[in-house]
Amino acid sequence: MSIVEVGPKYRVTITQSVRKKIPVKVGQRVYLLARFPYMILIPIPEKVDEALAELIGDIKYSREERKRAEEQFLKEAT
Amino acid sequence: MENDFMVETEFLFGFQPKDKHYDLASNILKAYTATKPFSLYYPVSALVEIREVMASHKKAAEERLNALTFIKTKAVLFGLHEKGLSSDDLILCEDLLMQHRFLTFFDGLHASVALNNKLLIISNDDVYDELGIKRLSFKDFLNLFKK
Repeated sequence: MSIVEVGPKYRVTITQSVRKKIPVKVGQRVYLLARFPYMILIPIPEKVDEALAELIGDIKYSREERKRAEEQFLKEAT
Repeated sequence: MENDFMVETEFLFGFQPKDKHYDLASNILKAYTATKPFSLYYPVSALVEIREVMASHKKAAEERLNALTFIKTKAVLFGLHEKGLSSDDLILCEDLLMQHRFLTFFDGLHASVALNNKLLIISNDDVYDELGIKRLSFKDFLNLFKK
C-alpha cells in the first residue's frame, strides 16, 4: 500500500494507489474510527439517504420488526 | 422550550427514502437544524435495535457496519446528540418489563433512557403512553417548530 507522513494539523494524504481501490473525492466525508492501535476511515457516500435505502430499504420497520429484533438479540445471547 | 427530546428506532429508519416516515423525518431534521430550540437525542439502544433488525433479516456484518455508520453520520450532521446506555437504564428496563408485560425488550430500553434522562420521546407508537413518558408523534413534533 503506501506510507505517508502525518502533516501539519495532523493531516494525512490518501494516496492514489489507495484511491484506486477505494475511490474518495476531495470534500467527501469520512467516518474516522479509533480502533487501537489502528485508525479506520469509512467513506460516507455523497448520497447517504440513497445508500441507506440500498442497505435497509427492504425492511418496513414496525412493531413486528421490534419483536424480531428482540428474538434475534436473545438468539445471539444464548 | 423546557424539555429536551429523544427520537428512537422508528425515526432513524425514517432516514432513508423508502421508509413511510421519510418526508416527515426529513422535515423535522431540517426544522431542527434551522432553529435548535432544544436538544434532540438518539439513544444507542436504537442503534442496537437497528443492528438486531438487520441481523434478523440476514444482513451481513459489512452491511450493518455501513448502515450504522451512515445513520450516525446523518444524525450528527443534523445536530442530534447521542445518548448512551447506562446500568441504571438496564435496571429500570427490567423494572418496566416486570410491571408491564406487554412491553418488548427494546420498548423497555428506549423508555428507560427517556425516563432516566427526563426526555420526551418522539414516536408514533402509543406503547409508551402507559409508562409515564411524555410522547409526541412525528406530526405533533414538527408542529412544535411552527409555533
